[in-house]
Amino acid sequence: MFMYSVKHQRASSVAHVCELLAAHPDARPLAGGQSLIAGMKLRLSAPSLLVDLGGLRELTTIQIDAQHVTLGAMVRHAQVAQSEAIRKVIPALASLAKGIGDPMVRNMGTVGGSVANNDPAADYPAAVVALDAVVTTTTREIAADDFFVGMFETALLPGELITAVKFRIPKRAAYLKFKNPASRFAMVGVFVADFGSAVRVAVVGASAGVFRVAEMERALGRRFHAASLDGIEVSSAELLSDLHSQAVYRAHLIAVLAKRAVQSLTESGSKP
Amino acid sequence: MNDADTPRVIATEGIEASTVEDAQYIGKPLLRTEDRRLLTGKGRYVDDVVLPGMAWCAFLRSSHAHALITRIDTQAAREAPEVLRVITADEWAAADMGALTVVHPMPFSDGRPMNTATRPVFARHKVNHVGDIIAAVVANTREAAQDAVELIQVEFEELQSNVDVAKALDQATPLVHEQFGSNAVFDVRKGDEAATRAAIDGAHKIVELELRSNRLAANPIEPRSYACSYDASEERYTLYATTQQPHYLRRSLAVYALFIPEHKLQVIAPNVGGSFGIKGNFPVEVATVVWASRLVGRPVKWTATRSESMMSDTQARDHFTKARMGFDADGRIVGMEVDTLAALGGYLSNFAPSIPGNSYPQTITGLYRTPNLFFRVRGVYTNTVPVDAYRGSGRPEATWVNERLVENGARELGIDVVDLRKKNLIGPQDFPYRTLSGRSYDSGNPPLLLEKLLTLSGY
Amino acid sequence: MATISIRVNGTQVTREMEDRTLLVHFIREGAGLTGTHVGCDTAQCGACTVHLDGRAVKSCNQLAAQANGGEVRTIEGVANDDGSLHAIQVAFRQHHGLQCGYCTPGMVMSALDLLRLHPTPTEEEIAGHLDGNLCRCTGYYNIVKSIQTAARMMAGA
Repeated sequence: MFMYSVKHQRASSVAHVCELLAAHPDARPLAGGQSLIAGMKLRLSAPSLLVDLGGLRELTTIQIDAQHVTLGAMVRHAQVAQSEAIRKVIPALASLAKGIGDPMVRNMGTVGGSVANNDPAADYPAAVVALDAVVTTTTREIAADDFFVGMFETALLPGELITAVKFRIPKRAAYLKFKNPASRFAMVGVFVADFGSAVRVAVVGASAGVFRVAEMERALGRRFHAASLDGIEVSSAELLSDLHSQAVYRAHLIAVLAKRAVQSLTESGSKP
Repeated sequence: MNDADTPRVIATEGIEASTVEDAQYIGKPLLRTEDRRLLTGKGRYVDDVVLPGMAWCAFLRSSHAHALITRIDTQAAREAPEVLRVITADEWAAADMGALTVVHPMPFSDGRPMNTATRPVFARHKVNHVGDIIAAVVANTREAAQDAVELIQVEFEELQSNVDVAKALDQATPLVHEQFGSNAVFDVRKGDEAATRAAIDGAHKIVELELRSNRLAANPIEPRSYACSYDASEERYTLYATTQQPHYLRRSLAVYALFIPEHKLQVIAPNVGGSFGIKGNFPVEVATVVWASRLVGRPVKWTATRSESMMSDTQARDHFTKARMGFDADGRIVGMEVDTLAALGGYLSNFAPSIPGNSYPQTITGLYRTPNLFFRVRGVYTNTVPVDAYRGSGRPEATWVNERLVENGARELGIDVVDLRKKNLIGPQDFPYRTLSGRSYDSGNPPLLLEKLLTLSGY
Repeated sequence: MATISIRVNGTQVTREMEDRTLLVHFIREGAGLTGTHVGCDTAQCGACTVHLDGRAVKSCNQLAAQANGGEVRTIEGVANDDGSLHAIQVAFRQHHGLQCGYCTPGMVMSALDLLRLHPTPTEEEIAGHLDGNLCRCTGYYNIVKSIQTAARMMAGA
């Protein structure tokens, strides 16, 4: 309930953030704080300084063009969930944001914070990977497939800050998650995105981090229909067993949710 | 009284007391008088209480379920900034302080008194559950107290622990309190063992069940909190406490823990944010807070974090039961046999033994005519947070065992679940009804109630 | 230490507090408004819900410093200026939407946030918006009824 002593400083610009992070190796950027503050209160982390990104208006924009939806790193989940413009082009992204935490958490939590944190049960990594996103940082652009490297670990280097995430607009996509009833984190979450030329399937909540299911992608690429997934199983060997669920059950959930995600896109009448 | 055929409609809209004429309040749906305050943020819960010069208390708790304390070093904590006092079992014992008391002890069936290890204010030499209190720090700020708690160095020798009530009396299971030579606390028996065995063994249908009534944590949204100030000139304490029973708490603190005259302690229970029984018993933190207010000469407050609540608020249920019920061919109960192990935790809390020992058997035969009963409950120590009263304390556990047996009987006999119950219910002519577990039901009409229930629920 | 200045229920409150001070402690201790409650360690119970710059947030899960210069509305700022109860408060009382009252400020603030976004919410929308508010006393049924009534009252006003 009570965090260790820490200093707080509001950054005036992205450049200022980089300065502060460079000057204080134990500093952490503070986005919405919904994971970081919570973790600090449980005394799980103890940065020396929190560099507050809350005042950086330049990171709060939503841009939509013919091919991409680009979210500034400080765009709040509630903004994405309530955005008619996003719902028009990638409804699955708006739905995903709507399902994060609860309304109060969504008013503070950000896409940049979620992606940088890479909690194994968070939702956004599934969207980043399935929608073939590009993560823009203060120094470079990182492709989705290269970004998430381990549990709570990303390709970000010390002092490197996410400034935006650019999602490809798919032909159609769906995200379904099986919520832990208490925390509402994903026990398993499956994001299916059909780009016409290829299909991407990303899973969160089931393992140390987000992963793609190549077999499902190939099968759906040949024919985008739930029946294509019949018989495809994800091995439970690499999956998580914890107090919420056994690996075998998570493997089962992946198969069920993937099918339902595809069904939600095909059953409204669109041709497979 | 209402006609049995017309279910009563319960009004959901209330009326102001001031609109009622001639003070005819009974039976009227009155709007509550406290709501205005609670809805405008003017409620007063203990953590809202700010006393001038208030200091804060934080506890060091065991992270082991069962371990010996081989060394405690509080020096760094004592010297930490803003720290006023550090208290351990040694200081408590040196000051000849007492402990909470266990009311209504339950004996062994041969008359021996129960094996009593009362929950201590501070664990001495040994910890017996995760959350067991090892030390207290009083400091100028909440954060300073918490930071200083982490400076206390403790060395443990970890021991094997048992948290499974079903295993508590097994030969191989480690003893929580070695001095008793057993994990048994008490052994209460009711009814006639031989006659019941014979009746069930000879029954047309025997239902046998193994049931686990899992451990519960009440978790009222308001955590426990105590704030006490000591007036040195009058030697009087004023304690704000999250308690359901302020008079009882005052008595327990004064007479059993702190040995002060009762009239020198005032206990104020302001608004309480839910309790469900767990704020009814005399807990261990409150004694420390009251004593500390005199030691440091300033008001002292402690408020539990939720994590602390989960390892220190008394918990509930935690039974392992083997039960049998015998039925004749028509579905009438001929006998019931119950053998329960009831976990009480690492120590005995105030009411704990009487919950499985006295309250639980009261309704074990429910409202069903039960010509033979053999009931046995053994309280046991486990390396878990102490159990005490919660929401029905003992009786929900009994109803569940009873109804599970009856339900299974109906299903296994192929008799309609309602019909079988109707066959066995005691009727209005049977009251006052003396159960074989010793309790008397003074009045009632169970068949009528069942009919009403069936109608109301549209069964 | 930091100087934090937040406009709380229309009044500027400026205090010097440790950087690590949570918004809920600024409100309860800095501003002396104890209607906002702490019920958990993990930002799950919602008893700490307030409005920050017009939107519901969990005040236990951010630093007061993050809200520096902002505008906060708490349960103490819900009733009308003349002291009469807001429709939501009337409705909660009328439908017995509270028992111990500890989760209630959070429920009311969440309800107001919901009605801002959905003035005529469905039962499902109400339940969904209360996802982050826990109650151990009422079983939620009367809370939902209270909010439905408040919505009708506010729409009719």
